[in-house]
Amino acid sequence: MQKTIVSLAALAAVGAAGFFYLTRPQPFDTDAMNGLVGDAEKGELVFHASGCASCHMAPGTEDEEMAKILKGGLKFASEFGTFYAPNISPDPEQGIGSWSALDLANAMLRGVDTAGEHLYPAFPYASYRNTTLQDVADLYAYMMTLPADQTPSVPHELSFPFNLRFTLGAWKLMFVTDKWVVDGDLNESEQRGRYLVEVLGHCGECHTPRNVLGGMKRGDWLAGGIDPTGLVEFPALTPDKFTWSETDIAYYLRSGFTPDYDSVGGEMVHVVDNYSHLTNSDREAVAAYLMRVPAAN
Amino acid sequence: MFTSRALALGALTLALGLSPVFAEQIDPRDTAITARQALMNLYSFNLAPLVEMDKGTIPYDGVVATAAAANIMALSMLDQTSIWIEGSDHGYLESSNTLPTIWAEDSYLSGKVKGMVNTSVQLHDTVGNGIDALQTAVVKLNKSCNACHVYTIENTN
Ligand code: HEC
Ligand code: HEC
Repeated sequence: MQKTIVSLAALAAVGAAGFFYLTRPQPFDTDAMNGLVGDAEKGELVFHASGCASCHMAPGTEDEEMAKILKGGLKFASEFGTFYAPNISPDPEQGIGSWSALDLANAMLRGVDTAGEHLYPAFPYASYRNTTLQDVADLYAYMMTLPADQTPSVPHELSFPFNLRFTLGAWKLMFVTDKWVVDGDLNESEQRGRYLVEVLGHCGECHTPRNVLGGMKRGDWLAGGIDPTGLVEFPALTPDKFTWSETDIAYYLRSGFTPDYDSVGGEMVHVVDNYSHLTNSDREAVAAYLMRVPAAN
Repeated sequence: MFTSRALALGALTLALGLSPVFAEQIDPRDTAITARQALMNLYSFNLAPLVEMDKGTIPYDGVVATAAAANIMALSMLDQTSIWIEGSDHGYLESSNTLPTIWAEDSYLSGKVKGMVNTSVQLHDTVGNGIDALQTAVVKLNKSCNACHVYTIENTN
C-alpha cells in the first residue's frame, strides 16, 4: 500500500516534470541565424505582408507615417481578458531596440520573449511559425530603421489562470504546428500564396473559426469567423460561400474596392492598406491560393 | 442628363434634410440610416465605370470617367450634418453597417467627411488625364472611404 502511494507520487512527479518539459518555451538554437544578412528593403515588404503595424501602431493612427511608429497601445478584447499590443519600436528601453534578429525570430515564430517566457497567442505566432529565417532577418533590418518611441507598454488585464504565462505551453502543444493547411500539388504561385495567406498574412486568425480555447479550427480553414466581442463577422473565403474571381480578389487587395463597388471595411481596411504595398504577382498569388482552399465541412 | 442629375440630387437633399421635419413620428435615426445608404449606393453606382477601367475590364474613356467623377464630387459636397446622428448605428438598427465607434472623439468624423471632398475633387481633376492618373486617384479615393469604413462591419442583414 505504502509502496503504491510512493510510486503514484513518483509517477505524478514524473508526469508533472514531463508536462513542464513538454510545455517549456522552445527558442531556436543560438546559432540558428548565423550567416544571415538582413536587407531592409526586402524587409519592408515582409513588414507589410505580415501586418505588424495593424496591431502595433498607436490607437487613432490615421496615416502611413504615423503607422511606422510602433509604440503599441491598441486593445484586443478576448474571452480571457484584454490584451494591449506592446511597444516594438527600436527604443532600447521601452521597445525592442536591444533585441537581436534571433530574439525577434524567437518571439515571432516560437512565441518566446527575451526573458525566455511564453508570449500570448494574441500575437499571431501560431501563424508566423513557418516564416523563413531570412524573412525575419530582412524584417529585423527594416524595423530597426523605424522611429524609436519611448511610450511604455500597457500591461494586459487578464484573469486567473490566463495571467500565468507558463500555462501557454500546453496551448502551443495543442494548437501550434509546422504543417501546412492546404497541401498537395501546388504550383509556384499557389505556394507563394500559401506562404502569404497561411503564414505572413495570418489571414486564418480572423477568417477561420476558433474553438473554446481560442485555437484556430484548421479543419474549417477560412470558413468564416466571429470576433470575441460577437459583433464583427469575418466572412468565409471558402468556395462554397465566396465566389469572387482571381482578378477581383487581387484587385480588392490593391484598391480596396469589391466587385460590387463597395469599399472594404472594418479591420480588413488595414490588411488592404498593407497588401496594396506588395507586388501584383504577390496579390495574384494570394488569389491563386484562395482558389485551392477546400469548401467548408 | 443634367435634369435627371438635378432631380436625383434634389430627391437626395430631401431625404437628407427635410424628411424628419414633416414625418415627426419617425425616429430621425431611421431616416438618417436610409439617407446614408442612399448616398453610399449613389457613390457605388458612379464608381462602377471607374473601377472597371482601373481593373482593365472596360477600356479607358476619359470623358466617361470625368462625368462619373463629377457625380462623386457632387455627392461628397452634400451637407451631411443631419445624416450622421449619433446612435444611428448597427446596435440601433441591424441593417445599418455603422459601428458606434465612428462617433468616438478620436475618430474625427467631420474631418473625414472633408477628406472625402478633397480626394473627390482630385479625382475629378485628374481622371481625364489617362489610365495611370485614374488608377492613382481611385486608390486615393478608397483611402478616404476607408477613413470611415474602418468603423463598419460586413453585414448580411
Ligand atoms: C493581431 C495583432 C498582432 C499582430 C498582427 C502582431 N502582433 Fe506583435 N504582439 C501582439 C500582442 C497582443 C503582443 C503581446 C503578447 C504578450 O504579451 O504575450 C505582441 C508581442 C510582440 C512582441 C514581444 C514584445 C515584448 O516586449 O515582449 C514582439 C517582438 C512583436 N509582437 C513583434 C511583432 C512583429 C514583428 C509583427 C509582424 C510580423 C507583429 N508583432 C504582429 C499583437 C500583434
Ligand atoms: C484582423 C482581421 C482580418 C485579417 C487578419 C484578414 N481579414 Fe479579410 N476580412 C476581415 C473583415 C472584417 C472582412 C469584412 C470586410 C468588410 O466589412 O468589408 C474581411 C473581408 C475579406 C475579403 C472579402 C470577402 C467578402 O466576401 O466580402 C477577402 C477576399 C479577404 N478578407 C481576404 C483576406 C486575406 C487574403 C487576408 C490575409 C492576407 C485577410 N483577409 C486577413 C478581417 C480580416
